[in-house]
Amino acid sequence: MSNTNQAQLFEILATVAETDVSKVSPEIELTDLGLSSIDVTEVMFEIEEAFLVEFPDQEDITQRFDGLKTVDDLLTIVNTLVSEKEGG
Amino acid sequence: MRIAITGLGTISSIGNNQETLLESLKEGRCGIAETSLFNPQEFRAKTSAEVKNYNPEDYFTIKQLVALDRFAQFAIISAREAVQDAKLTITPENAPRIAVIHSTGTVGGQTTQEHNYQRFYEQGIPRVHPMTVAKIMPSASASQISIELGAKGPVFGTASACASSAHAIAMGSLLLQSGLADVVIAGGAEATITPGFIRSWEAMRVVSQDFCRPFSQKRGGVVIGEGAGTLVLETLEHAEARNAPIHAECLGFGMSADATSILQPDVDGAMRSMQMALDQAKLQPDQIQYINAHGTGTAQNDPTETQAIRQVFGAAADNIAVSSTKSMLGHTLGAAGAVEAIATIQAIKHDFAPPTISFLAPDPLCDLDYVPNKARSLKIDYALSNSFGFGGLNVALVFGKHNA
Repeated sequence: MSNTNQAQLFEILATVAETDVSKVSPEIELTDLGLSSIDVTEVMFEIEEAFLVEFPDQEDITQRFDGLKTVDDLLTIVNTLVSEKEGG
Repeated sequence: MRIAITGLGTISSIGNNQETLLESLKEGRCGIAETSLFNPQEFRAKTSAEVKNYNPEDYFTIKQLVALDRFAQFAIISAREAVQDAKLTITPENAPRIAVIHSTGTVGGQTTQEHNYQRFYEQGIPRVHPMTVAKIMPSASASQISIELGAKGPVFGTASACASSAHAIAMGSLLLQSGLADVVIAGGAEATITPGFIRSWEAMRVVSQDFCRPFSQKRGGVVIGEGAGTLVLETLEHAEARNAPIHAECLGFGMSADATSILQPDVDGAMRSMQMALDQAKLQPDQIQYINAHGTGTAQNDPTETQAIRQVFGAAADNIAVSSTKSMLGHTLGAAGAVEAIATIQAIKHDFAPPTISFLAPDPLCDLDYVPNKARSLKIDYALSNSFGFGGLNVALVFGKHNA
């Protein structure tokens, strides 16, 4: 499940960052992909569309994104949201 | 050429006329409450700044309302008040020299558009009312004002998102300076507290979940408001010749573009608009006593605007009262430039700085005097009003006491 999530997330990041999916790896930082804060908002939308999840309210997002640096950090959030959805 | 402001008119969440707006600005009344125009329970943004106690039939006949979206209703109400306030009589003789520049920062008839889409796409109703286009078009407000008042000079709107009606005032000044008109009825109107529109703002993740707290710590973002503002501008010569009341003078305006991002604000663009306005008004930074900030209450705008003010005003910045009336009015988008210009003129005329309400605690990134929570008596000869639209479109307007 998690691998499918990863592949889908990599596709989203590559599209928004206008880069090849091969350039996306778990270790790379979102800023190194060239993603601005507006791009990150777009990434969040694409994640919500693809995984049919909803990011929590703004305050929580800011908190979560403070500790969010790498693609792997984002994948952890996506996995949590997806499992919360499936659990609920 | 000197430009006089002879008439003011407004309708907003904190007052359906000038007098009430003035009281509200002095008392720091908040127009923001839970949305009642639609059920906001499923929304992140449950609050908005709605016009209160509004019954369209108190202002218009049923026949008129068939062709008037809510935004154009607000536009007309504010224009009627402004023209009456200016004691201006429009006759067949002067009508061709009277212009209207009235703007919206959105499509204009958002309520009508969403209502019709819902009927057509969701309910499958094939019929659409013949007045639909006439209600939705963004220039409907300017046209309806010209029809209502009989103004027959240049009539149009300006489109620059949240700076739209500030551009209307700047362009109005230019029309007067160019000699194309003797009087300009300038302003903006907005009525976009609708489910589809609020959702679009939520998607940017810049909308507050409760109040609007510009420049404050824990500010959660924008609260969408609605309303309209209209100013009557005329050459000083024309105003004096007809013994018009003069509220203030429009001394200068600056217009600039960031040319960087469609959403992210930029210090340089904001700075240049303020500097141009000061230069045109022939004022030094230490002559400005009050700034009505754009102050949206977002993480991005407030520190950027603070830095821009610091760069333009230098050491004088510490002696200037800077407040955001969006804390009370919400963000009225295309109406904001005009409504806030009116607030600025009231501040000059009545010598007080309106407060930034809902202010919790200072943010280290925002280190000016924001007049937190309570209005303050302050002698104001000259003041600046900032409007910065999405897409990096900036306008700064300088107003001054008449014969300051």
